[in-house]
Amino acid sequence: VIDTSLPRGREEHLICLRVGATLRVLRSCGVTHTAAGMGPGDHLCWTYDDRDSLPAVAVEFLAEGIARREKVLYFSSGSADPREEISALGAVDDLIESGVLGAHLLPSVATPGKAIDIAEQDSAWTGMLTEALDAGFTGVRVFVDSTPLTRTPEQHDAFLRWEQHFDRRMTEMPFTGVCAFSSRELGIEAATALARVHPLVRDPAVSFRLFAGDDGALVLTGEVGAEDSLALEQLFERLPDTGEAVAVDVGDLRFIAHQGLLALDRHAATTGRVVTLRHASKVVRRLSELLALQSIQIEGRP
Amino acid sequence: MSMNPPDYVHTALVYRTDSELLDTVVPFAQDALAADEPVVAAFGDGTTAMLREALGEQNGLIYFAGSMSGLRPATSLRNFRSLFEQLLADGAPSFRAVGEVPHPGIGSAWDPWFRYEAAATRVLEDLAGWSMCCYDERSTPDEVLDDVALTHPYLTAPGSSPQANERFEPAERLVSSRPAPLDPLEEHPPALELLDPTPAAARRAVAQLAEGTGIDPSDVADFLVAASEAVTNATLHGRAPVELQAWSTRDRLVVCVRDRGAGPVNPLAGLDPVRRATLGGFGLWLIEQLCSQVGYRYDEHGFTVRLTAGGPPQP
Repeated sequence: VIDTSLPRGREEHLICLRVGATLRVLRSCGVTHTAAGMGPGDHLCWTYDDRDSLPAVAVEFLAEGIARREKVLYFSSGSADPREEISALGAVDDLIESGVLGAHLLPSVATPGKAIDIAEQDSAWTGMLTEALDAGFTGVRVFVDSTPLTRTPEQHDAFLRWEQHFDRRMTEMPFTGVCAFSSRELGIEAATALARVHPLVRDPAVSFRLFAGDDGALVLTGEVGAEDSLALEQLFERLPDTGEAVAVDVGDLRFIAHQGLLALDRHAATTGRVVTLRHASKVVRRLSELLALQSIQIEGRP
Repeated sequence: MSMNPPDYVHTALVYRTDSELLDTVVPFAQDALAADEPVVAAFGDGTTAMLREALGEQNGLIYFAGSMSGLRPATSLRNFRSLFEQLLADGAPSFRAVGEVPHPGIGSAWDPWFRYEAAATRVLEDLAGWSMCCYDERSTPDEVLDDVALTHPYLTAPGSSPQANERFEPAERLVSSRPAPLDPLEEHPPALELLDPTPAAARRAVAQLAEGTGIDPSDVADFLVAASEAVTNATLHGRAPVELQAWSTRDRLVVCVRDRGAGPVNPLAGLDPVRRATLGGFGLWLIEQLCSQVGYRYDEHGFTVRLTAGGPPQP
């Protein structure tokens, strides 16, 4: 099982599993301007300024799920009736009645200020997926504006961990998700931090991303500048418990400043975790040698 | 020759004939070998052959194949330092190195090797050993000989032992007061000018410029990291505005990054593999390892670092 990339548009790639002679699409990654065309495993961060623009994005995304015979869910952060917001789906009440669609106001189902409980959420979502599959659906598709869940620093921290945890789940089970966050309400820095743990992002200014790849590995992609090294280290500190070893595919990484490599090496040294960079380019291998990195393992491109 | 060096003795020999060279280097090596001190000889092919004839193959005598002219000064310093450390770690009480340093008389620009000579005294100062840099007066330009006298704390006259050199000047001041000579490309209008670029913007613009050259893609990848490090350094440690200028030909790329600050606190940061981290000098140190040539200018406009990919300028 290896991964490779197929070009899909200018910035988008597909991450694939090679199973025998065939390639199975695991998920897409990149910068996108649309929530259309997503499939199981796809996880998009939709940062926005204008909340009124969200329902149209959700409708297009959810309609494709209904066509794929998925159970679809809409969580709004507003105060208006969520069924009204997505009325363009058509026959919303019937869809809800038949169990195809769920439409909820997030503030009414979440406790304000409470940090997300990862174990509780994980069992709720995987339970829901099992039920949906048992009921004949092909998967679960969710559009959620999570802004109200990430307002305080504690909430933000817990939510980042949750995103990283659930991103891995999405490569194991047929989930498709769009996570919306208001940059205006959360601030650019917090919104960017959340975007970094998604394989697909809307904001082209998100410099690098770290997300789940195949075979338990992580994928680090984009560009890690000197100014990003602290953020990278913080993401590694919040990684879900992956055991003693973590493999990071850097085959698509366009650039990493030496501060980023030092940060990863420091993380490996202080946690005792075996961090392996896979598919490292010649320049990454050269930098690691020049920096005399002691704790991370570097594997080159085959 | 008997002398107990305090730690590292960096000396130069200027000779006029091959026999002057042999009369000095052969006893210098024999004395060391007799005391179980390893000897490293790093000369070009001709002189190496001559030394082999005089000294033969002996236990503890290491001939360094080829000359240093194909290497970067920073790489040479790093390699020599780790070789010397290894010899001492293996139990040698001390070591001796003899060799020749590239200069225009043997086909290399002098500015990088001037910095090498200045920095060597400092970079190797904690190692118990001697190095003797040998210059053939017949082929060495006068301005190089002047610098040899400024960069070596000891001088060795042919056939005698090293003597303290009164003209020696500490490396930091020497290096910061010597601007890199202009690259011929710098006399032309730049192909690219960026004001206060982000490192990412600088990488993209220089990558685009590099596409028009025939430089090896892996050298270009190294060069982009260096250009990025230069902009990051100027932004983090220098003073705004930061200006980037770049020139290209079919086989060369030159990038100058200038800020209005006074430059690195330690002008040797880029050449020093030991103190690089504590000085925050990783950036400059990597730049020195990743470019084919690096030059510095400290002047009334601020601090400029010039990076070159590809070969030396064609005359």
